[in-house]
Amino acid sequence: MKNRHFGVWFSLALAIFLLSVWPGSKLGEKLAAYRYHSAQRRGLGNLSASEHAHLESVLDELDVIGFLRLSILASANNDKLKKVLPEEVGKIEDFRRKVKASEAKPVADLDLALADVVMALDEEQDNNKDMAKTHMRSAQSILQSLGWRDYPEDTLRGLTQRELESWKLDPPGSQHLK
Amino acid sequence: MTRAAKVTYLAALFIGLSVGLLREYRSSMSLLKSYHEIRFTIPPYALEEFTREQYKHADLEHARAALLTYANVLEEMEKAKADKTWKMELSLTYARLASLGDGAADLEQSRAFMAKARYWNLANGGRDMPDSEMKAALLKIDEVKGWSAHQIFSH
Repeated sequence: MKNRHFGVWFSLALAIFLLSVWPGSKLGEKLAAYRYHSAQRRGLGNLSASEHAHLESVLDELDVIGFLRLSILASANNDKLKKVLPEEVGKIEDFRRKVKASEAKPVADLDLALADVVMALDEEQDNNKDMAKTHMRSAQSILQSLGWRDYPEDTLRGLTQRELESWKLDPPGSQHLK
Repeated sequence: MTRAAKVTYLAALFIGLSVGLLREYRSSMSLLKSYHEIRFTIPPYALEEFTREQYKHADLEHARAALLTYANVLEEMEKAKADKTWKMELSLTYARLASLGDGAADLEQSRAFMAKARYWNLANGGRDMPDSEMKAALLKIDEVKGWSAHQIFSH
């Protein structure tokens, strides 16, 4: 009888232990993030606390912009991911509205222009000429605001194709075929 | 429920929470530290790409603004964590700003930027080069790195 009771006790205690590991790990994650962010608000090297906080927020925004740019290029280069291109462009548009750092705003603008040209190329492939023109005009308008001196469609196509090519990954095994 | 049972269950709860907390805290902190290390080791990709495109295609005012922003961010990064990468990038960025000044016949500003380019080159352990030699070196570096100003158009 005592053994049966011990078995029930032990099973319950083990279940409580295992179930409490999960909220513990969530707490640990939050605590690490809190400590990391409070460290970002302290001075670093020769930077004062406010300079450090500003630099970190600029770098945070630039990291997101860089990641969104890579997502667009990766999606455009992959037939399976191409259908999520409009979604990726939407993410850039949303983030561009949220950007606070003056250093990151024009960078987000250029990302959006690149995304528009990528979308125009995609629409051209699908024979949606009107949509392609709309995207191309949107890209040209952004580039004009960024001070580009000349931005004919062919030039933008060429620049974007080169950018896409540079991020194209060879399928596994293709190196051996070359 | 007996007192012993209560103590056992509370102990199980406390140990479980502590194990989860410690394990996740340590792994998250180590990830965040690595992220922080990497962040202060390489120039911000998006800003570097943006500056290069603006230098190549934008008008003088916008190209200069992009290079100055890049230089300011690099200087902040250098202040945060001194590194050869920042000194080298800063030297090249100020040399590019100087070359833009040449194009606009703004010689005074060009000299000021060139002085900064030389300062960062010396800080990086390079030798003191005359302006002409430094600009010639920049042309070669830009050709290799795809920064050649205004490849399609010219100011």
